[in-house]
Amino acid sequence: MYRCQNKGWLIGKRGFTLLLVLIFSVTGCANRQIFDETGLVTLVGYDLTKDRQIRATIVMPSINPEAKEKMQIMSDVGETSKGIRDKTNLQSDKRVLAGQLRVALYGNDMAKAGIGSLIDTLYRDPSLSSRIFLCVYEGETYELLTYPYKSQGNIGTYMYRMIDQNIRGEKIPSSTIHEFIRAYYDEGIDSQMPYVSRKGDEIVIKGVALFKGDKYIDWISPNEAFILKLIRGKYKTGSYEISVPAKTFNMTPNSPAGEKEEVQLVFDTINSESKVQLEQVDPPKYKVNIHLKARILELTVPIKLDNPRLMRKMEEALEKELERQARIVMKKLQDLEVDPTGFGIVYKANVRRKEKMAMDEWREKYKKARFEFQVKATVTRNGVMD
Amino acid sequence: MKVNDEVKAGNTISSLHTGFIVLSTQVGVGILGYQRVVAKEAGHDAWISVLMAGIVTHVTVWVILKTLKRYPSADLYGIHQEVYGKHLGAFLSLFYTLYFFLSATVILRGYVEVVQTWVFPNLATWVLTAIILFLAWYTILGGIRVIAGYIFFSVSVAIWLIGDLFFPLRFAEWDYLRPVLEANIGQLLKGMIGMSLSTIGFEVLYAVYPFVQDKERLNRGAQFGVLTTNLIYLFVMIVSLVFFSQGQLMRTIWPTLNLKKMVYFPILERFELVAISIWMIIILPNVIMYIWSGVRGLKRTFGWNMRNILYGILPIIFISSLFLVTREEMNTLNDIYGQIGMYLAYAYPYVLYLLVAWRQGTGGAKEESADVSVPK
Amino acid sequence: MDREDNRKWFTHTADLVIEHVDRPDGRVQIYFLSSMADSKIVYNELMPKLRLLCLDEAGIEHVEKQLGTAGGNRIFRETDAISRLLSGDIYIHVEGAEYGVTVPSEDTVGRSVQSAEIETVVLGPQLAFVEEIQVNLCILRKYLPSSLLFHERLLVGELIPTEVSILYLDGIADPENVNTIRQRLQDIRAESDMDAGILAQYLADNEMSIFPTLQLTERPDRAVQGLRHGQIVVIAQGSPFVILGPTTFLRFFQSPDDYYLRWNLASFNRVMRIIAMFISLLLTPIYVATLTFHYEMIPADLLLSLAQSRSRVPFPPLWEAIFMELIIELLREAGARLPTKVGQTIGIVGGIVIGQATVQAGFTSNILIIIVALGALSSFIAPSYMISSTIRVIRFPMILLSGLLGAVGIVAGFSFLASHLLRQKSLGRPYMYPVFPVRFSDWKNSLIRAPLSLLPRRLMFFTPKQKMRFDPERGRQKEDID
Repeated sequence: MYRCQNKGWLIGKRGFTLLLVLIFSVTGCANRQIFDETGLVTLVGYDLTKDRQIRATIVMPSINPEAKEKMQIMSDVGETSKGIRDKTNLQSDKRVLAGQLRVALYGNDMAKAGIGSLIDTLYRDPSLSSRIFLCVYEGETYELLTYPYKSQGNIGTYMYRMIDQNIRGEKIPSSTIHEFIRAYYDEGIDSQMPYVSRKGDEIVIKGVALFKGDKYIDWISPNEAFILKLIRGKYKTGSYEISVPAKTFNMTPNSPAGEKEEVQLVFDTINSESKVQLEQVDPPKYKVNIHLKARILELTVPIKLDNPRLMRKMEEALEKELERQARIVMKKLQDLEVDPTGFGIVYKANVRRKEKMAMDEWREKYKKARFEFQVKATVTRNGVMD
Repeated sequence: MKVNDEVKAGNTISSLHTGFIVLSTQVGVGILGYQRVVAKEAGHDAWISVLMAGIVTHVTVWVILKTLKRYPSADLYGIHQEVYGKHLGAFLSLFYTLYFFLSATVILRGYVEVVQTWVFPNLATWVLTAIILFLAWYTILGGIRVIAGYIFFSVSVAIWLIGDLFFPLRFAEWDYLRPVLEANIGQLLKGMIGMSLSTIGFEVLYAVYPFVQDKERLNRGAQFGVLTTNLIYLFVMIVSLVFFSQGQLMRTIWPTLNLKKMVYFPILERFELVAISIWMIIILPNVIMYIWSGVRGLKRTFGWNMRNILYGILPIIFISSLFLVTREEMNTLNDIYGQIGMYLAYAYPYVLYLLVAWRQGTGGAKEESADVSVPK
Repeated sequence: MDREDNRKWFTHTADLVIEHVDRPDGRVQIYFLSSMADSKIVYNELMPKLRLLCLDEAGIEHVEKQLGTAGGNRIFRETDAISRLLSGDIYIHVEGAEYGVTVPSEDTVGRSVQSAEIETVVLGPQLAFVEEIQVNLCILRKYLPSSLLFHERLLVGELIPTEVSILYLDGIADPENVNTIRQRLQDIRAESDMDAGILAQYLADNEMSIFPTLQLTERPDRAVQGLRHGQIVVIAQGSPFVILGPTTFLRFFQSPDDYYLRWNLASFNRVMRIIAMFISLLLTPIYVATLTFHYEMIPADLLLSLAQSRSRVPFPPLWEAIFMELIIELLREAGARLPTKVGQTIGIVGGIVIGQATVQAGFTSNILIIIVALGALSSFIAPSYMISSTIRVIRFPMILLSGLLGAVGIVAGFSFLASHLLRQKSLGRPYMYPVFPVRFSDWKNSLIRAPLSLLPRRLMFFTPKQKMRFDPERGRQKEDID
């Protein structure tokens, strides 16, 4: 029985030799990065030292169960980020690799000096994720990272979860490295990223840092950031607190809250869509239509909301207030000459041009741009009680 | 050599499988980085270039099949013999054969480069090249039916990778696509030419044709393959255009892989590493089909044994792929290859069709073509 | 034939008994092997009957008449007489006659029919084949009481041939397949023990492959299902397994009780078995690849727990995994060789003691234990022992590849398997059918098991002559709702 027209051997003689050759040769060739022999950087912070050098602080979870500290923090100074990584290797018993990097922090001074090339290096490295979160810290990141926190555990994972959770909850705009690079190499939008600060033992997302090109300019509060996203973006699960004058409801409540001039309203499950139209090319004039659906979660006066007229009033108050705030925010951004919402993209999308628009040209136009906001809000009641 | 090649009844493939062959030979390494090439010329209207290139491909495939249909069961090499005579025909066949081998080399090396850049920076080129060539050799030894089976396997494994484009779409900026048709026709055409490196592959039809069982339905199968390819290219291009800003896209060598970087699952992150590995299954049909077509050419032209040719040609491909080291060399080779490919895959079929029509139209070559056998 | 000559047939055969019928001329002799034939028949039936013969009725034809044996039992040649004696018959010889007569009397030694132990099912017949070919044939005949069940008997092998039967349903099985099997059986020129397992290797298209291309089964119902679809059954004397062929890769993942359960349960089981195959093939390699090369792929939530469980392990993941897989294989082999009760103990010892101890000793990580156990479990899900052994062995090269080249290695190995499987043939038919060549109409009866009313066709793979099992219209008939 030698029926071998179909010579398919699984481990024949030749296959076996091939396997042997492979075993002997490949083991030396492919990069083995055995998981437990590597120090996995989960967070890196960059600061600018006084002599204009870069100080990088890296955080690695400490895997050793006998170690007291849950993480290992190393820091070194150098000219380039990769150079620093090589230096930190000398401080570690494990090979320092950045493939698990999840958050990159930039100190205030560093961010002000411009971080384009730093981020570009990170983005260029194929071993890094492009979902790394970028953040600006209001002081020195070294100080932030080395602070002995009581309850945060591993600060790398903690910060990652904190930012991730807030982005998912639509409290702050997404700030992955991809989005930064995309805005950085685009001529119609500026980047933004979370602005973090430390209050004693707590790390807080204080607001949103605005960038002009790759330089940090200023930061805005989460509420302002909410408006920004409302202007050009979509909400699915956002939430927002707003105050409207008490007289909107036209009532003289007996409760102590009624003494106040203003009524606080808290909305959640905000579902919004916006439409930005370029009405006039030079100087640019935009008309922004915002449609918004929200559930009212809390309000500080005990009014019954079963009255449709009252509801409508509340909606109107909300619309007015949002429009007002939008104008304020846009004014502020125009003064800062930054365009994080990407009105430049809308401009480019609506104006046919022969050659590409440079960023400077857009900034000139942006300063002169005018905006008109129109908010249409629908409020639904929430809860099981009237 | 006979112009027409009689194929054993049990050794045929269906027209649908031929469609799969076309699809999987068209999609290879090119799809990893064509966005930049096209968008460099056509800007954010690159998707229109892709669309145009797709239409041109459809027409070209149609012409190729029209040429082949003039014979009952001929392939490119037989037609060469008939149209140009023995010596010139053999020379042109040899040239086309070399082009097939070059394609295999370029694709193979392109994939190895991707792996070296993204996964294993220190991996020696020869290791992966050897593995891929071994797999290709092993599959080719099984004959056309096993190749078709492998391609079917490859398509059914890889087609799901399209689904991961859902992830980058969440970052889409649809305004990047507007205004439509900002690029002028010249730019669009240039972009279309830039596509050629990616969409060639359908020319293997020239070699596969005798093996197709239901030749009358082949046009449908092949066009279906081309259509699927085009839709994939179009879809990937549109997603890339809305996902990247133009400036960013210009700096990205493999945008498709960057798209995959955005994919993550609760149990798995960095999907691009998985995708690159699976890409080997997408690359292999290319390598296999090109080598097979080339080897078939040598067999048909010179009457050599296919097994022996394989033993000769695989080491050559192996060694020549080791000579390409740097990114610049790769780029140069890709450019040259794209040029050759454009002429041989997109321009030559029309020329050949005219020549065949002219040959058969004059001098009563019509009857001859049925079973003419040029003495060797 | 002379009496003395006859004795020479067996030179060293102590159990050959030659009885002389108590007659004056002593010309009638009875030969039998006391170890094989039932001596009661000789002494209680044959001898008294033959004694009644008159003196002048001493011809062989008178013997035949007296015993009422048919003409078919006449033996003309020496070799035939020997083979009949060896198969347990009684041979009656009359001096000077042209031929002898045999009387069937088999005192079969062998176990009685028992329930299946290798391929068990929950629902359905529990019967299994036994070593005795006659019993097996009897079982099949009972399942398929039809004249369509064709049966060919062959003697296979050199020197001491083995009795082998080919069975198929005429008009359903493809004659080409029957020819192939017959031809291959006849071509076997080997002096060997023709157990079904050995025979299947001789019959296989590619002996080198690790994949079984012919099915072995101990279940008559599986054999009958195959026969009804047009498969061919080969039974060898002395083997409780029968060979089913041609077959496909997916047939190894099907169990007879897929048809006894409701279609949705059966489909679920079938899909699960295929998934289990992938799990057992890929899970450990993925672990090795991830931990050796692709640490980036581990999600944030898994990072710390994985790192902690690995932190005390001194070996690289590749060695760790091979070590654990070897332990599992050792346990399996030990369990298979030991008596059932001891085997269970070994299972407990291996599972609990070794598993716990290795983790505590820091030899392996907890997660690997889970993965290896899951892989082993999944490999045992395959309803065919042949394929599950194959899968378990293939895991080792896969693990090795993943340890050398990571995910690229896994894909390369997987790709090679795909090519290899596509190149395999079973009796000249494509092994990967209906996945390739694609025949979607058969998917509903191979990847899943559609409701019976939707399965009017026989599987096209076996190229049956009669394609339909019932009129498809009948399956479609529906009453109107009221």
